[in-house]
Amino acid sequence: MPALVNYSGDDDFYSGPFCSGDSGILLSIGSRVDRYCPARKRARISGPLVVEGSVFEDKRPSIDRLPDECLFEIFRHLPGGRERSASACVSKRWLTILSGVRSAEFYRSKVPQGQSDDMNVDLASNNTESISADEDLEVECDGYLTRCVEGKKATDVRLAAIAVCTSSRGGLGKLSIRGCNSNRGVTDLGLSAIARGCPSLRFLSLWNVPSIGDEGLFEIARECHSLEKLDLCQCPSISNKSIVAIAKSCPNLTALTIESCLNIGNESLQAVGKYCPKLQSITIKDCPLVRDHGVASLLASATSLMKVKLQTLNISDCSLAVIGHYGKSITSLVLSGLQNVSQKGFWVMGNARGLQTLAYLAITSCRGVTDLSLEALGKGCPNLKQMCIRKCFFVSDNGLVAFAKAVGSLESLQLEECNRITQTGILNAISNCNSKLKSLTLVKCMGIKDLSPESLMLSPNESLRSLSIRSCPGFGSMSLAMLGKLCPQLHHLDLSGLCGITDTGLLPLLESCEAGLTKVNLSHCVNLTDEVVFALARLHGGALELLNLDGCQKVTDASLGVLANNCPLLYDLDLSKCSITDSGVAALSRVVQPNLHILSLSGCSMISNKSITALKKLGRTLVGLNLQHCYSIGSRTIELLTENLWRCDILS
Amino acid sequence: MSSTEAKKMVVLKSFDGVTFEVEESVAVQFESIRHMFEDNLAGSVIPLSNIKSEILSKVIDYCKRHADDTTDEEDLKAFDADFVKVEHGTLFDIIRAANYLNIKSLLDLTCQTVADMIKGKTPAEIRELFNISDEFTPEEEEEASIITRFIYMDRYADC
Repeated sequence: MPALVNYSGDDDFYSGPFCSGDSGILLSIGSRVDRYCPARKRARISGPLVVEGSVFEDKRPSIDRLPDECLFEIFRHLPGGRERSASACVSKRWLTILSGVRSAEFYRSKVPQGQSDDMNVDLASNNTESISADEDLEVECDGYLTRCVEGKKATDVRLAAIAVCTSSRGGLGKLSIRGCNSNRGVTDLGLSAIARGCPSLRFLSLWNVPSIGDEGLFEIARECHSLEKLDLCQCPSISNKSIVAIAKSCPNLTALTIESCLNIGNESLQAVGKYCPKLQSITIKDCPLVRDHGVASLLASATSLMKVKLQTLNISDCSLAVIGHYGKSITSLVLSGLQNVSQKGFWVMGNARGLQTLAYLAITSCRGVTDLSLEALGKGCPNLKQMCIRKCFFVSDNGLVAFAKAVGSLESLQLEECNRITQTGILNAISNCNSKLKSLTLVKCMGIKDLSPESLMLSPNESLRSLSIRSCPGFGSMSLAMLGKLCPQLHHLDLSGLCGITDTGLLPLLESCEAGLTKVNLSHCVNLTDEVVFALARLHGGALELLNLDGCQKVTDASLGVLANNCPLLYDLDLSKCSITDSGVAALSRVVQPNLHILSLSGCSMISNKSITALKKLGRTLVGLNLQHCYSIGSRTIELLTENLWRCDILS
Repeated sequence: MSSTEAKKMVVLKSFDGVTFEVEESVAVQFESIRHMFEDNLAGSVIPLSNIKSEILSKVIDYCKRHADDTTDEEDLKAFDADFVKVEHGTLFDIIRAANYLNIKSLLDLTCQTVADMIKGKTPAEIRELFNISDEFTPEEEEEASIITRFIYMDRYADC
């Protein structure tokens, strides 16, 4: 009777109508991942039931004798979330099995105990009765819950628990995993549990989880079809295979970030371009397998892309040409560390005339940005509003001026570490720029020298509202005086870290500002004295809201009296490391400062306990007070202040 | 299946060697071995080497009642309710047998019974009730207890 002899029960056993083949997946993974799933006392897969006679010798009626699939079946009958959660905490085995139950597989019968009508129906139809009511899911799992597991807490047990517990209370919408436990890290098993328990997942972020690979993401692709955002960083075990699977089964994907993933390459990008028509945002950083082919095919097919970030990639001119040609809906473009892109690439990107809607462009560390290509970009992006160029060493004055002339609607220009730019270029750019430029920022531009102004015929720029020149050591008083004449309508002035400027350089600028400065940051301009503060208070006191004098050691008590009397709108005042004493604080408090909310006196070591009355008075309006490193103020005074000023956040 | 037809019998042999003669109309409920007696093997003995006679007789009993078209619904419900009033060990064995033989309605009935026992209990009570030795490592135990606490505080937000 060969049919009987061969019948070990295995095959038919697992393909029964109520134990769909898939339900064993978690368990089959388990048998391979020994970390989480130690071998069972009775291995379900390998051990045929025939040899299990020994179980009858066990007299204790432990439920643990039941094979996994029976427990699985029992768990499917659990009435609600609370029972599922409680069961998940019973043992690791229960948790593992429970997290393998898809939320659609739970019976949702609300029939009271003992009256289950389903049974008769089942007898008659003998069909699969696993409730796959999608409508139910829609109603019950909106996926509004957010979970983040970090570092030591990132374990499979926790993920399984999240999967079991969230499914009953609205469903998980966002999951972030940041790093993983070094002993019992997150694996595909945990992620599979999430996939089964949380079909409503929309946002998945995995940072630094080398132990999660394709299997986990396959499961996500299989179960979580409403995934909208996927963010992968340092996941070396994830390859193209699973990304392709996700692309194919998650048509709603709108945002994809891939960073430092060594095994994700062109194939993934191709698939995403092909299958995800709603993709709006893509970020690819530091992925050695991503080349022109991938970027080009993604850009050419993803027509609704709005945000593109490409950083540290081995792509060449070809990719940029495709961006320039096809990027018709791109509004924000960030390119960084593209060492293999030459001047030609940027030039073509501008001249292809496809970037009609581009509003924000940031380019960092790209040697292909030169005078020629910068001008082409200016001409090719008619709607560019914000431009940021960092560490592009080949851009010089000519390119900057040509760009400023070409670009029609620029509102904000930022240059960082562009060392070929000199003050001539900046003055000319400001003067020649269109009438829309509102903000100019220069950071660490080492090429700027404080030369005596040439006899340039420059017309003032009436639109510039915000000027920020930070940490450009060569920028001195003469350049500043020239700028002042060019920018009469400034509201915001940030000169932090310009140690070269003096009162004589700044005063003409303050005098030529017609509009009234509202925000002034002079931190670490160590040569400025009370004279500047007097002028500020006299000329702009009515408008001044923020003043930062951090590190201006030559500013003394005299300034405070003047500020107190002339600046009714002052909201934020930073006097850290100024030469302020108790009498200065007293002077400030003498006049009611109705708007002063933030005051920093950090490092003013001459302020002592005597200032407590003045500080209490000032404290009526303050929400933030910084008294760090005020070594003459005792801890008792701080305590008293803390008690008195309970609304104010005091740093000490 | 017409009742006038000569009743075909199927012989089942339990783990401890007891044989049961069952009408085919009852045995068809045994999904997983159905093909054996349907493949013209009627009359031969089908060994069920992992089911004890005591359990097998209960299962057959259940199937007989459910195969009987004349039993009215109320009676059947009463029978079911009575049927699961057994010791845990027996209940688990029935689940195992129902699972092995693939008798869906019986599996549903018994699993629902166990699920209902879990209702309203804490993890510790469940362990006690079903004689479960805890498999969590001390670290995981701590984690599980945190999770439990959150469940019962009805806010599992920070886990």
